[in-house]
Amino acid sequence: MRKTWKSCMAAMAAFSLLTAGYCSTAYCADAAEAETVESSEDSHLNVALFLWMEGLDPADGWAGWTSARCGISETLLTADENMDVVPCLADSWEQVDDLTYKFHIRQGVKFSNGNDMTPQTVKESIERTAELNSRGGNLNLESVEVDGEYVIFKTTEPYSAFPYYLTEPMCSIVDTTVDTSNFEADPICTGPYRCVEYVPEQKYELVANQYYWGGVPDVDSITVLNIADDTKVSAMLAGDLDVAVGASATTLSLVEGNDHIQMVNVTGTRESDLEINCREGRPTADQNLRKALSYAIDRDVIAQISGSGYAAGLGKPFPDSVGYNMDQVQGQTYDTEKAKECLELAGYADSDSNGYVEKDGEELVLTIALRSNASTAVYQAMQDMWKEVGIHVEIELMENTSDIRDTGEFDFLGGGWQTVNNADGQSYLKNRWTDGGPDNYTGYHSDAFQEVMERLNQAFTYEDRVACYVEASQIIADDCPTIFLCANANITLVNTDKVTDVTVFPIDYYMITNKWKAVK
Amino acid sequence: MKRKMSPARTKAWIKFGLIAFFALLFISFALFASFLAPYDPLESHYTHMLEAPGRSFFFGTDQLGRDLYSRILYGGKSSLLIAFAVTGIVSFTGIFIGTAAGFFGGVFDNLLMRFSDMLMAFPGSIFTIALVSFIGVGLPNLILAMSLTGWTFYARISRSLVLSIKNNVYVEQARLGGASNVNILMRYIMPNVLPSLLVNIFQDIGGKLLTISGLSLLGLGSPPPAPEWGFMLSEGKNYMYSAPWMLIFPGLVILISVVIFNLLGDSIQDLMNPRENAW
Repeated sequence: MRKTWKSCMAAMAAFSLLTAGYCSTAYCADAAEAETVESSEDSHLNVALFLWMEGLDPADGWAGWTSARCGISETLLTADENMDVVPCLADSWEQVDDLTYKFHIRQGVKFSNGNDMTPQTVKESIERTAELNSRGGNLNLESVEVDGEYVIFKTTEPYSAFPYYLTEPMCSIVDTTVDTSNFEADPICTGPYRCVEYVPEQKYELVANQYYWGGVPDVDSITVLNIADDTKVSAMLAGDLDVAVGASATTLSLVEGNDHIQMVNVTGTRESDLEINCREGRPTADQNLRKALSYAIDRDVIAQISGSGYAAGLGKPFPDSVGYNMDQVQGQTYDTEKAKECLELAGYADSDSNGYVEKDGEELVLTIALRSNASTAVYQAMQDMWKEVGIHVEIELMENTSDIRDTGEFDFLGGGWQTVNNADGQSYLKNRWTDGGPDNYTGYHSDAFQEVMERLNQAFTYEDRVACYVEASQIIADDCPTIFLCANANITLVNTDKVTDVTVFPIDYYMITNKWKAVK
Repeated sequence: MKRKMSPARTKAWIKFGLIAFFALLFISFALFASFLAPYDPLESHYTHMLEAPGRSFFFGTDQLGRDLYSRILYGGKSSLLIAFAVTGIVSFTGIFIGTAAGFFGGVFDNLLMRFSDMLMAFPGSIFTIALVSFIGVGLPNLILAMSLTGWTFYARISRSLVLSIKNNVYVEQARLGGASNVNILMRYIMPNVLPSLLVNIFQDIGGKLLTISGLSLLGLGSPPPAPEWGFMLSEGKNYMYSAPWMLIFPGLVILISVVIFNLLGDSIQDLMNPRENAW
């Protein structure tokens, strides 16, 4: 009996040792992989992103926007909270000539794996993006060369937007000296955080980058969760979230006046609009009809419906938050009398007194095509406003609007765009309204607009660029290929019991920074 | 001598009368919406957006300031009309096909029933959603899609009922007496089949109402701005926190109408087979 008891004790001791040994080995391996060791006192936050997207590799589609939001990746230049382009991984830059830009690479920057960021990795990283990303061609890169601590970019043609393009998250600098095959889950970048676990459609687990050049973040780890916009407020109230971006505007009234949840509201750089088909053969090819449609819309009401009080009416391509002297642009306005005048000029009249206008005996009936799961409130309101001036518009719900968008078989398309997706508005204007622009779904053409955009390519000073933006915006506002509706607010909810110093940027691909302070 | 009605049958009649009264009341509300609604259901009042229920707006207003009470009344017209239309189409088609298959039998029966089996192999709602997505969103297409998939249920039941009846002695005697097939069907078989199916038909109205509301909730029903209960729910869900009445009232009328039509089906069943525990 005694012998059996001893044997049992020995077996248990051996098992305990083995288990302890295994656990410590496993723990060390995990810790080495994460390159951080969390203690029980580590500060942790749960955060919900605006616009959840899968993957983090900056060179892959729009994934760079997510890695930028998560504070994982950084670019050579960046846009601050005032929309000024400021140095980041490049501490200075100069334009050598119309085709050449010289960037001095910040010294002492390390990637999240401890490797040094060198001009050579910067060169290889930008070349990787230019090659892999479908938007890489927008860089118009002729060559990238390393000259000591400098990287020299040459463009194929005079291209004044080039430095701004380097703020686009796809141009984030990654460590090209390591295996890049796992960059979707764990890209090696220079930002204040590194992703240690990616569960598709669910979460990104971030830990503070111990090598961060701007100082190790105060918040040790962050779980970035994929949560539906209309449940973010509930999750904040329940304490499941500490920071939430992009909560549904209809739910925000629940946290108004809450002592523990701060609502930070900044006018964003996204807009909502309605595109009008300008192609020949369509009734809306007539500029007067487009103007009538635009004059009939009360944008303040639309903003109220769309943003539940957290959006502002807009009648021009850029929200005021972008700058660009937009106050000099005479935007689209609400004036039902002018709408009726424009209808008359276009040859429409209500000859049969049924409340709707006709031309050559045929009633004007236009259709707004929407996805069946889209919110229709704004479009119903517009339908109502058009009815007031005698324009019959129907709403058609369909599973997929991309087919009619691509074939041009539509009257209206609803949408919303980031107006400065590289801290500059050139690509937004170019893609949407120039001939052959990839997002020019309306078939819009204007010689005057084309000429301004040509000029913008060679406008190298900020003043010259702003002058071009004012001119181009005025042309679009007057021609009405697009009815601008409202500018959406960037609203961030912050649990002030858990975190402070959360900065909200007008551009929505900036979010997590090393400045966040955990409340101990 | 006059036969006295049994207590069970009396109870069944009272139950039926009471529920039929509520069903008719509901239908009347929908039919006379234009007299009962205080506002145009499409009229927006932008200064009264998301207003809580009160004196001016009994059920409150929606995100465009439209009166919810008026929209619910008008919505009843379209929601009930579609439910009745779909139930009518599927029951008529199903009974016609099922009765013909059961009565004539043979290859005809085999063909129809295998086709019915094929349709029943797909989950009904999924098949309807897929069909609507394919042929396009809208009320006529919704009715068509629901009708294409719904008739099989009635075909199955009516076929089995016909099979159990067609070999009865009185049918054989009618045949020997020289009655034509149509005559046998109309005079000897249908009168025995229809009462049993009536229960299913009334119970199905509630189910169809629920399906229509579900599909409208997904944006596959009537296009906006037409008021329709399911679509109103769909619009209301975005305002669940700030304007819960947008969700509560359409939800309640759907619930009540489905319960009423289900109970109506039950009461008809009780009427035909009176039991002591009819309540």
